Amino acid sequence: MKRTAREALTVVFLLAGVGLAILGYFWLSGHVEDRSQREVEVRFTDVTGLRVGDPVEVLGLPRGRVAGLELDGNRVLCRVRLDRAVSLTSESRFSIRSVSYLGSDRYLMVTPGTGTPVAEGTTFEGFNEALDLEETFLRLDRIVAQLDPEELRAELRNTITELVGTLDGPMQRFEGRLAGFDRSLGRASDELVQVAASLDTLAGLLCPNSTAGRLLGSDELYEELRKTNLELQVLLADIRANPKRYFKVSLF
Amino acid sequence: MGVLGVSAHYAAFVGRSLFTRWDLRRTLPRLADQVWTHGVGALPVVLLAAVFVGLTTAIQTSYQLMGVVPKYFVGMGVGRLVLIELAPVFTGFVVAGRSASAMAAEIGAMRMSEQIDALEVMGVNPYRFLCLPRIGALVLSMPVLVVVMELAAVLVAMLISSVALNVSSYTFMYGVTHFFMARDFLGGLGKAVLFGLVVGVNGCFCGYTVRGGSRGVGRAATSAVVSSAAMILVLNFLVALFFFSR
Repeated sequence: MKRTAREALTVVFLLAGVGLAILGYFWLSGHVEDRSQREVEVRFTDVTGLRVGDPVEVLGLPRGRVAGLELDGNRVLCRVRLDRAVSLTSESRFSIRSVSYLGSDRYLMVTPGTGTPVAEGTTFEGFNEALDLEETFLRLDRIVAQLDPEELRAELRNTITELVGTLDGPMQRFEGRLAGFDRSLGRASDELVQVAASLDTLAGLLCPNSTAGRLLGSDELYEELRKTNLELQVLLADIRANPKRYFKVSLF
Repeated sequence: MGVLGVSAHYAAFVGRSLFTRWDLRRTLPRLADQVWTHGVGALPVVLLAAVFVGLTTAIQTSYQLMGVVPKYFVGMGVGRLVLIELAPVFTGFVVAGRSASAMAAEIGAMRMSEQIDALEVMGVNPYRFLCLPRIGALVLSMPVLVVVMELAAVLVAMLISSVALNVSSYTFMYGVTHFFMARDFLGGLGKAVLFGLVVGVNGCFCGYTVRGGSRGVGRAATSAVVSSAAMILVLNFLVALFFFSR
């Protein structure tokens, strides 16, 4: 290769390196314009904790990012890069949520909704529904600080007295019903004792040494009764066949 | 010569090579020649290393994180690992193995055949003539090679993630871009410049100070690679300690 050509290629190599570095920076930082996404504007009254670059999740799936936050009068205009595949409707809801209860990280949750599709360029209303633990504790602290312990004690005592008074009538009725139930239970118990005694007597009669017990428990008796039954059947059949053999009717 | 003596000699060598009159009209063609040899010539092996760095990093990150954290953390892990550590260090090792030994052998052979002495006799500054273009070429080429390795490795990791690891390219790039920090990218390039300087200086120093005939040239080539690799690791640790620790 000629020396000049090599020198030219070397310069191209170095310039391509610089170009790649710039392109790579924008690609890896996500600043390269993604044609599969569009920009949506959302207005918030408060965006505490939300930062540029925070994720945008549609029904729990990452589908974009917060592209910009700027003041718009007394409100905040949030620019969101969102996949074109996500169809926004008149009922679409944008809300800022916390990644975890303890963390300060936020994400923007989008619920597309089932309303009529909206035109591109529509500005949506957003809501900050993130749980700010610090703010919650501060509010709780302020409420506790405003309470007078003596007043609270008196209030609690009154409440307990009122509660006892309110429960007095229903408790008496309940006790009356309980006594009635107890009596019914006593009667039922007596009857059950009688039934048990009768069953006991019956069991005594059926013991192997008694007459009934022997009758019920004897195989020999069973066999004899069966034979007798068979013989009776044969006798009845014979009577039906030859009645004159057994019954002789004569007037004279 | 003790450690202090070698250090002083090394520092003097760096001073003579870099803080001399650059004479760009004569140096630039030789610089271009060295960039061609050590920069463009290293592209294939750097690309090959990038492919395997991307594949391995994606698979290992997925193996470590899948089921524990969301999938886009695979992109985050690969992106930050490649940008901060793997691309600069791997490229440094590749260039050290390829160029430091070549420089040491080339300059060592010239020293053995008294060509360097001849240059001095002719009134040519051998540091500017031999060392400055080589060191400069590596300082210029290393960031380019590192950027190539970074982009190729991330691209390969993205492809393998979407094909074999059930992580879509969108999810992967979401992790890369969401956790991207300019400091990581620029830190990687800063390391590349530093590693290029170290590899160039070591290659030239080991060749320039060679003694003992052809065996000495062989030893110089080996020590150029070993010392470059060791210095890359030490410098990598120092950069991590001072620039990436909170």
